[in-house]
Amino acid sequence: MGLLTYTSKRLILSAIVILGTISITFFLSRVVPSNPAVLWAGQHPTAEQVKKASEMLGLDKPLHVQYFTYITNLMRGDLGVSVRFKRSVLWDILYRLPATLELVIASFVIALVLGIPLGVISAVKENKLVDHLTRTISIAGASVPVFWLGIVFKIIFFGTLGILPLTGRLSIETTLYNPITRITGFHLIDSLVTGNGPALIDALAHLVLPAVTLAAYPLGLCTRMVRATMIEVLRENYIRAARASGISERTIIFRYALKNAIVPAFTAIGLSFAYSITGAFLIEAIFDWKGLGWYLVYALSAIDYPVIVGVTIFVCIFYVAINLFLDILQAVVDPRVKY
Amino acid sequence: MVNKTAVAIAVIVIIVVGAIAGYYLFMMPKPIEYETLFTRAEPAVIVTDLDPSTQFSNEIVIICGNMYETLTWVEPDGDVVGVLAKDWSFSDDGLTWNFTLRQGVKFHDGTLMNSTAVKLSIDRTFRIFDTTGTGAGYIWYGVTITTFDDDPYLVQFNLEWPMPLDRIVAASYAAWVFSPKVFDVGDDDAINEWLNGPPPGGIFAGDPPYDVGTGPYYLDEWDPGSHAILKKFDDYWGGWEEGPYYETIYTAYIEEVATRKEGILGEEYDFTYLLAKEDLASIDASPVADVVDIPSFQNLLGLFNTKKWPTNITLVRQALAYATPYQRIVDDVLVGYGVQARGPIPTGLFGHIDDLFQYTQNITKAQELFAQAGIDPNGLDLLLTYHAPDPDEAKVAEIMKLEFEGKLGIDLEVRAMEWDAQWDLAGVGAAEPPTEAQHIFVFYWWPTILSGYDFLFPMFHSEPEIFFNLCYYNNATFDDLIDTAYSLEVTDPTTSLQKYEQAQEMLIDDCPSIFFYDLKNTHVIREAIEGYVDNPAYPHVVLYRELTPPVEEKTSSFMADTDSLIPCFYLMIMMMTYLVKRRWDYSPTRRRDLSYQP
Repeated sequence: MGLLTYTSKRLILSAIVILGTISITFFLSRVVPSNPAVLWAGQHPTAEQVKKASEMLGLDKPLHVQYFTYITNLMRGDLGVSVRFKRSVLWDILYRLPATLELVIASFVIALVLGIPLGVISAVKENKLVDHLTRTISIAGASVPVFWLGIVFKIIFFGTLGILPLTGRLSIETTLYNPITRITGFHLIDSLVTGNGPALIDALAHLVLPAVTLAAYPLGLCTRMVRATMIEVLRENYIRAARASGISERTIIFRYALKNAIVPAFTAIGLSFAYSITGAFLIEAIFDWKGLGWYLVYALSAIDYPVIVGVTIFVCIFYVAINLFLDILQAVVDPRVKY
Repeated sequence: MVNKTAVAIAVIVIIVVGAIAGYYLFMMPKPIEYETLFTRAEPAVIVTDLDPSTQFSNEIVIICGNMYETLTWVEPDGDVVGVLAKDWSFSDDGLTWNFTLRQGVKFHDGTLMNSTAVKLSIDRTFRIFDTTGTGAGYIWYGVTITTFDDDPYLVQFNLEWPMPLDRIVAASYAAWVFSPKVFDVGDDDAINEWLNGPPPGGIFAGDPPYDVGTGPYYLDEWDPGSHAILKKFDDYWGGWEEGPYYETIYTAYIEEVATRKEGILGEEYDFTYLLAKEDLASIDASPVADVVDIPSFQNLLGLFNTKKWPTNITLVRQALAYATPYQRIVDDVLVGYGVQARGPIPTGLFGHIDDLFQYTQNITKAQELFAQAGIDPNGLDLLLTYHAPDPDEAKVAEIMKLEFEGKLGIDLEVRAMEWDAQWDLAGVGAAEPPTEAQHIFVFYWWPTILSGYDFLFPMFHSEPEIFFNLCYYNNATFDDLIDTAYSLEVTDPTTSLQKYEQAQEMLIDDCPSIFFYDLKNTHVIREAIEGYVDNPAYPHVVLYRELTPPVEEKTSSFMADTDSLIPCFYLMIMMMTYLVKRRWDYSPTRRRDLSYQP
């Protein structure tokens, strides 16, 4: 089987997963005991308002008709209109996505930059004090609930030390006096491109706590994965041979061992990136980070079903796409993978 | 050789300049600068409707209360004062009301306010409600507005039946006056779409202001769900001469309670509310924030299903009312921020009776009433529903369950539901409640029109199909009493009050509801800010123009007075340059270069 056939097969399977998710989410959102028409009609709605809202949202039609209408609209890129925000769900998702991606990417960079060296050090100094310390940190990172960690960070760094901002993506002063012109929606990029120095510094300061909190899990995972694979590789004969031939330890570790150790760790680390998207949802609620997660959390509390279904589909596609990408990449870079 | 005299002079000058600078830095009285930015952490996240005709939620009033204005305004003590109306009068029969408008009032778009603007605003608000059922335009039922060509500042309201119109025109919904210029946009729907954007569409496609009111502040920026920025309207009719005033109001929408608490204690925010009641005492004791608590017009009720066994039996309802632990609820749920309700109308509203009978917990009496009804409460199945996201309602429900089960053996099922699901179960829109409907419906009520009638009518007046009378109470005598009381509120308030009293006594006897408590508003404001007065008539509205900002705290006096130091620094640099130049002129190298011959 060639790479093309393998990719096609994976694509078809991915499409089935996405369709399944859409269907399950759609029907689950409809069996919840709630009437979105009442939400649409607002506070103190009259029976007449509720009836009109129901007709307008198509809720008066049979469930299977609603489902096929939804799928048809979805094919056209229409995720519906938020019952509470009364705006296009797709527009809202695209508007808020950069905030989430900025947070996730920042946390992932932190996780990789710290996690890989820690994993390497831990493997090289196996069963030494440094190793025990690193393992404790990585286990703690992967086990501590992020909502607790986030609140503790806020109390320490804002409440006690007063050195980092409490919430949000920008301070009120920056929003008022050095507003960022939206180009990509990524505050760091937009402020950099427009040469808005104060906003860049402010955006970075606001990013620190949520990104570090979100990085806790992937950092722990990355450290443990790299450590495990490095230990395995360092016991290989070719490493022993390299040492015997007098090659420096630094070259052995970074040129020969790490290169081989990082490939198996790659899939798990890559999937943790996709996981971070959903992990960010909790962080966004804690740090009032107005991204996709914040949008979904609010939609959940208001049973805003078009948003719930829309975001779920979006995250599902993201997760499946990352998974697919990693599978294909591994098939390409690792000759041992058979397809 | 260096000229010692010159160096000495230079040193003296530097010392003098340094002394002057020091004086400027530490001794000179600094001009007083007041804070200009007010920050608000708003727990209500969703603001979906910026159209003054259709909006019908608390979330929007907190913004619009400063952007738009009404003809009158109800003060915290219940007095009605003029805003856009200078004065008003009504005929003896209470059917004709004349309002004289204030002159020289400008809308944010520059248009002058007059009687045409008032008529167009109210007509549109009523028309939208009448044709689509949207908004709170029902308050204008039976009202016709007349304007006069020869007096553009006189508006006449003709009523089909007497009503307290001075309070109706002060309503927090459906009574805002807006610029007639919006009608250039198109029909009612087009205007609604235009006013609501969302950014960058509609009104937001142009430059601010992004509203069409006359208020002291205009909407400068709006990021739905994130923040709203209000700016001072320079042409405000009330003027800005008697300052200091806040110039910018930043509202950050933050749902998370812990974040708002940390923010107010860290002085990141100046104002917030809906914090955990257990935290309020410690916040109030802190040096940075004050908790302002006053009785609100919001109360919690438990409406009995008067159509379903066994709560269709008056004796059973009375027994359950006696079994309710009012004091425990007030103590445990409100932590002191509220009182047991005395009937359905909260204190401060017309129609409230100070000495109306109050049920208190009396288990013996409850058991006697059950015995009289011939029902054994032990093992009796009852269903109580409440609004799931509200933590206070959840606590009330749990306490009720504990007390009913523990003291009477009643098997009380408490069901947490979303509001719409709870309402559906109660049979909204149907002629009769469904068989599976609840026995006790727990919910909050607050008024649109500031009258006791707005409590008695929606919840207890008979209705052809179920809407908010969720106890399904049907009593023609009661209906007649409250309708008459309402029509006499202006022309004969004494008789009106008597009729309200009779009607409420009827409710106490028939017991279609448990009246749990009247809630207190608990708002938290930075201690340094003065002038904040909470007004229960407009929940959570802060009139920013009424606030006195504190003197701005300088993070560094050096930074603050840089301007005044510029001449000093200039002098110092001149002197240093002079010194360096002299040193260079007399240096050996220079002398060699110039072949200096002493």
